[in-house]
Amino acid sequence: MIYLEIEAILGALILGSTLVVQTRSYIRPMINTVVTQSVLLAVTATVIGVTTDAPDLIVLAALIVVLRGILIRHFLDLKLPKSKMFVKESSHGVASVSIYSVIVLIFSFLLYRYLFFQITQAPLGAIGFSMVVQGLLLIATRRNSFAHFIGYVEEENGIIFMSLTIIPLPFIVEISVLLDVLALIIVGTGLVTENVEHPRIEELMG
Amino acid sequence: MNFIILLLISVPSFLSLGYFLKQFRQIAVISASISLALSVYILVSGLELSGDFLVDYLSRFFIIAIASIYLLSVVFGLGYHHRMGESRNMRLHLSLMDLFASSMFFSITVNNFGLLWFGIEATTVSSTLLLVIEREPLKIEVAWRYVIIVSAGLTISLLSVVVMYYNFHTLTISSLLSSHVAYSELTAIAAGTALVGYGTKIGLFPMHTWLPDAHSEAPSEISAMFSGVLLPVAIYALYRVYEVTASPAITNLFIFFGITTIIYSALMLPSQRYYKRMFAYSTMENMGLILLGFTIGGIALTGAMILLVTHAFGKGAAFYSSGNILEKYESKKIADIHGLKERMPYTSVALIMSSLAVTGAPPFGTFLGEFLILAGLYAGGYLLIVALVVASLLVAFASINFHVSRMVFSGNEGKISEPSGSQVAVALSASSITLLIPFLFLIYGVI
Repeated sequence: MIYLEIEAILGALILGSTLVVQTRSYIRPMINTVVTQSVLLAVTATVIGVTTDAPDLIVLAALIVVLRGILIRHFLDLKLPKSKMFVKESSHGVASVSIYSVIVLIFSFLLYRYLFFQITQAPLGAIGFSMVVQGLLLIATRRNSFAHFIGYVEEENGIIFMSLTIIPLPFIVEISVLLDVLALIIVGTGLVTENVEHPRIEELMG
Repeated sequence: MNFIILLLISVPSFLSLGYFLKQFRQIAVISASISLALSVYILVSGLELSGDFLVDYLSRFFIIAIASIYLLSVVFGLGYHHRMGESRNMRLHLSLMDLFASSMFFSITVNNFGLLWFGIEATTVSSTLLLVIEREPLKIEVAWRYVIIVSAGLTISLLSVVVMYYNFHTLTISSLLSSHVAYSELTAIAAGTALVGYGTKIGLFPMHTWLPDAHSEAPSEISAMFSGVLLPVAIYALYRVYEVTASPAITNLFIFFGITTIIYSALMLPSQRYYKRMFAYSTMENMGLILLGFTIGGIALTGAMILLVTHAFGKGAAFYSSGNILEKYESKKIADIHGLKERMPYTSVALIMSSLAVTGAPPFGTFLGEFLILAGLYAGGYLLIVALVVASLLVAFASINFHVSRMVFSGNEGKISEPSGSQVAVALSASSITLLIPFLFLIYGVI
């Protein structure tokens, strides 16, 4: 029973980190928050691995820490300018974004309640589902490349959390997903230029 | 027989190491040629597998289409990028083309929904840098949009994998296909999330926003691979999910997305100012049609297969011709292109043939494919859908062929000659193959 409570506390912390990311204007703290979220996800995988006697989940947790906690941060750091702490997104209103994200959070909880919960009976899955939606919101509302990356990582974290709380996917699939995200981040960082904001371009309209 | 599929996937992967060798160009051609030879063997031998890999009549046609467009694109790319010489970018470009083809072969043959998702995502990883061989700011922006929109969308289809695993406790495609799964709310959720996720990669409206940008700015041989085979590979993934989860409600949902994509692209086509972008919208229209064919099944499924294979070559030829025009005119604007008939006679023939092919004119294979899809829809009682599809096809046909005719027949100023022989040969041969495909299907005994 205590393990369920630990999972619930971890879930609440992960959800909190998701909302914090939405309110960040400075990129470096945003990266730190998503790294913390990934580590919390790894702890959740460890707890579930211990309680269900599934060693592959503990290996998965270790890989999450290495791939998402260390490597992804490293690759994003490489692309941040020298004055890392002061890279800020220009078009971002904290108050409005906070309101949007809370509304979207409530909406995603309700959606989960009516789509998934009646069948899966897994209340914590709602956290994973809402993370996926929050990740999409982050990508849709920001114009900064780093924010897009972080939204994508958050989405993938949400899917992993959801699968952990509903039914853990086969190990090979989980590993493939982790490696895929890493590969995408590496490829994507190659595209991050000095101009990290994405304006409208006349040639790409219509 | 798994060995053949292992070879098919691993040969391009292994030969992508040609990056490190001086003969990297020849190695890329060898890799694509071996893949084509293997795919011909797979098709002719009627290979069937359902172990680690899944190969059936459907995947065999996808494999041959991928291998053919892969070879044509490599040959075209060698001419198209000749100015890049032996640069690092050129080596990387050819190596990534090998990896891109390999990831598509993997996706088409793997017998697991989780790994199928991984394969589709791997096609995104391997193809993103193919868009930016020239490192221009606009192309980097387009590649960024492609990788973020497609990856964010595909994550939703991973939700479908989770739901399927929860419901069936297996992700093996062949097991699920043979077990005749009963409809439940979970199968509906799996199909819906797969539709949104893979639909983003296919370019279904309204998740299509990356598609016109990527197709118009990619190098022409990559546009051909995207349009001709990458999007069909994503349709294959969606169809496998549909096969397992089909129900009347899901069928209607798929038809809705298919028809809205066709109508939207038909509405966008008349106002296009850039020829590559115009062909990108035409791809959307064809993908919508193919989705309809797969969804209805029966004779429409046969039509969708014919359309898929013919479209691969037809759209390939359209983009190869576009590449030739872009190389010589240095403009993507339709209004800037005049007198192609006199200046680039062979390319203009390829362009006209390919534009007729992709708009479903007889006697091209696309006409037969579209006819069979419409017949399937009619037989299924979808009369309103038939009317909407026919109207959209007419608008698309008129728009594309009007724009192409203007480019080919109007004016004749200045001196411009054809590009290298290999580029012209690739464009002409791809457009000619579209005429032969119905006969090939007849010979193969599908019809």
